[in-house]
Amino acid sequence: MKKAVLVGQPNCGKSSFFSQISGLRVQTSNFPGTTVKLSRARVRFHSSEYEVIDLPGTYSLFPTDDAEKAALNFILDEDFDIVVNIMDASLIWRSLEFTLELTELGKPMVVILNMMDEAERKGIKIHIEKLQELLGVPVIPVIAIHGKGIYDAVKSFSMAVKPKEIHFTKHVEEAVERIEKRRNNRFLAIKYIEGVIPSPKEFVRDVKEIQERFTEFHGIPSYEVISAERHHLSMKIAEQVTEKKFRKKIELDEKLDRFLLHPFLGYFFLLISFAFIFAIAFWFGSLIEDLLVEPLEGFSVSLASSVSSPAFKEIISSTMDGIIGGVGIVLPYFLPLIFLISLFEEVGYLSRVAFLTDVVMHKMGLHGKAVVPFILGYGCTVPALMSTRIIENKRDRILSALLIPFVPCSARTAVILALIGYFLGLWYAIAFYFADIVVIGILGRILSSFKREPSPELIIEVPSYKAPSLKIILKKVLFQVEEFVFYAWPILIAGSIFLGLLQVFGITNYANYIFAPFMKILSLPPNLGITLIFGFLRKELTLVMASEALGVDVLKLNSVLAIKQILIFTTFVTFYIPCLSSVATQWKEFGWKVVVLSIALSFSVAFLLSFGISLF
Amino acid sequence: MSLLELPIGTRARISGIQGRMSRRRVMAIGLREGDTIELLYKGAFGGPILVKNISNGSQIAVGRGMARRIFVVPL
Repeated sequence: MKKAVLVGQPNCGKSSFFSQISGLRVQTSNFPGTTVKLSRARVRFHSSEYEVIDLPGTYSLFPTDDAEKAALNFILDEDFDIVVNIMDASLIWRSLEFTLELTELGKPMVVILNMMDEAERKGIKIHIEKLQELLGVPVIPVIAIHGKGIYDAVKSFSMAVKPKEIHFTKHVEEAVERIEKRRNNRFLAIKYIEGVIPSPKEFVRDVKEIQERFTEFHGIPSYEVISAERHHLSMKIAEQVTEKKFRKKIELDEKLDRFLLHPFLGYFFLLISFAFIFAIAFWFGSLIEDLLVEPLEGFSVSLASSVSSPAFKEIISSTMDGIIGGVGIVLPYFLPLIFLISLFEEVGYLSRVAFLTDVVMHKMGLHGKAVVPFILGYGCTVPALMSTRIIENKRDRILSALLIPFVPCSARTAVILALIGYFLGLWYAIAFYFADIVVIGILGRILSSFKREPSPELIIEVPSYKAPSLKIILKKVLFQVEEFVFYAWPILIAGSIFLGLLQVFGITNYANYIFAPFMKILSLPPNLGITLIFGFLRKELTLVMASEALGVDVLKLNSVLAIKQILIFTTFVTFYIPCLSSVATQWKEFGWKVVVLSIALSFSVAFLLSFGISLF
Repeated sequence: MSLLELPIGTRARISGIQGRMSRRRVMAIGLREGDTIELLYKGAFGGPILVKNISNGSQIAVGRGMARRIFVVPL
């Protein structure tokens, strides 16, 4: 079976193309030693079968972030037969440069010219045959989001041929050939000279000499010399294969941006769209509650009553609790959120969100791109932590990992709404959310001042608007849901069972003794100590537990707790220790140091804040 | 002048990019010396700057700290 790798620049529609050809059976794994995702799928075409590997989007093979590094390492270390280069036809001038870099590999290659409709709308006409002739490989025009040209694209895999060797200007070419002859590999020779890969001992001196000569002659580093060569060549090719006339499309894009990026209206729209999604989440939540949670709870009760042993009973009902928790609390909030984010991404709005929020994120030592994990955090902390992978540098990722647990997830939203929303009023609940954002901001400020190295500035592409494809959005949503279902949910259930066991053995009763002094400082009744254990294992159960511990109905908590105590309690529960699933995710993604730091941080913040409130 | 000082709606040619890492990142995303650009927006409250690269058709948002290191000659 032949292996084909998909390579292309970010936003070129590579993942759309991949999901069009891959069907539903996609295997994902991480690149060894990284958190960069690697997807594989088997693609059958008539009698031939291919293993298709989707590499992360890269602007060039000169990596500037982890994802690009992973892509380069894959190309260097792994064996593959075909290079499938996906190109955004509407950005052919820039994309060709990367294509030329890929031809240096000297492997059989095909070029998939994606977003042909977009190019047409921008008034760009591309002469496919001419481009094919100049590159020496098949060039297939497609519109991946509409599934157009996909058949021909996969068919072309079998016609992949080695591209024409592209030659640089004389003195650069001579230098490359000098190393190439000795290594018998043009790609590596170029990468040595660029300084992307350290050159082997035997020609370290030659490479160094070339690099110095380049720098002296051009006044720029050697990799820039070579990249300028490619730039020049690609401009020449683009000139021969394109005709351009400006069309209305650009005006439409600019009109939309005038509204969506407007200093006032832009933020207004952003707020409205998120308010809208939260409204949907609540509506969807109550729907799920009626349709799924109630029957499930009934089922759980009848299941538990069918066994006689009380210990067994407890285990069954706690297992069911864990399952119900996932269905009733996380999914209703999480689904609309990821749907919206995927939609925004597909339409091209997400990078505009990053543009708009960069100012705020900057204040806490991050930049606009990091906003997505924070938004996801309102659904569930686990996928939010996982999505920090889109952030390119380590410092920012860790900073986000420490801050995200402070974003109230759906389980905590349930607690906040039930306690503050019900007993103090909706406006207080909204104020609580704003206060939470302020706290995150201040924490971010403080934390980022510890690690002074400046966060790399925002620099992102703001792609033109596109009509979304529902199929691709659903696929993205499905993928994220899968991650929740197979990773966070089992931990949630395991935590729930563990809790059941603790209760069976009566261990939970000791919790009150242990936490008693602590509760006293916070001027909370000692009986609530037990809820802190629940808060760690199952955040959303804190509420039920609080009512059980105090022996009153949830809606009558104010008969045993003063309003101030309710506020203290909610504050503490919201901020203290991320739940078990989040801790496990932090461990997996960032290592134990981050876990310890995060627990210490959240515990002290929760304590200080609630203690502060108790003083008033 | 730096990109930061360029008035909204004006076209300019990129004349230089300062700083090793900045250069790499800026060039990787497709803003090169010699490219013609147009400044589309400056984000509110000190937000990033949106630039259209006329030479290759892409639009790039650049943080202000980075924009300070990109030098342009207005056309």
